[in-house]
Amino acid sequence: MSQRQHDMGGMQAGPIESDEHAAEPWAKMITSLAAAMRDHDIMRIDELRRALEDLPEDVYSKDYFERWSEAMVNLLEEKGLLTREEVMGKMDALKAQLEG
Amino acid sequence: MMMFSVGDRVRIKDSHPPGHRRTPYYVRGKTGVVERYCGDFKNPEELAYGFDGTPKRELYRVRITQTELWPDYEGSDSDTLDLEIYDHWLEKIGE
Repeated sequence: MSQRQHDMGGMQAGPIESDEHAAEPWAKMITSLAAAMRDHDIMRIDELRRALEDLPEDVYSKDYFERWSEAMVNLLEEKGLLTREEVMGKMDALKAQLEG
Repeated sequence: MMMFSVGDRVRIKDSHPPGHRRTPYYVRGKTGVVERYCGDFKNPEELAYGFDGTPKRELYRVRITQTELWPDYEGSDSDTLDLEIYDHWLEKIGE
């Protein structure tokens, strides 16, 4: 098996972007949700890491917290707690509520 | 029971099992020296899949020279990297 996408030691990584940027509110929310899932024994940090590493390349290449949210949804589905449709449906409902 | 002692020369297994692994690709197959014992911990490679992580695994800090890691390294021969490796990834070499 060859070097996996997250296991980057020794790879050519290109220039490092050192500009500061503010955390988006949704990214803070994802961090909080991850902490809540851990506190409630729904997800271990090792499971999150595994789910991140297993994301398809086109998803893994997304923003850091998008990656987290995708991995967390995959774990919820894997554990039979929520389906992706249920999560997306709830997000649409909240969006409609906020915009309404 | 400690499987390795400080000062032991060890090789990190050149193994490539699929799944969540805690030994970076670039150190596999490299040799180093045990710098310290860090304690025993539930196996994260098992915890990652929902298992209980037992038996616990011993974690060792291994010191590897940069020239061992990177054939084209241009710094000093005495430059080293320390990293922590679980016992099941290590094998003792030479007596």
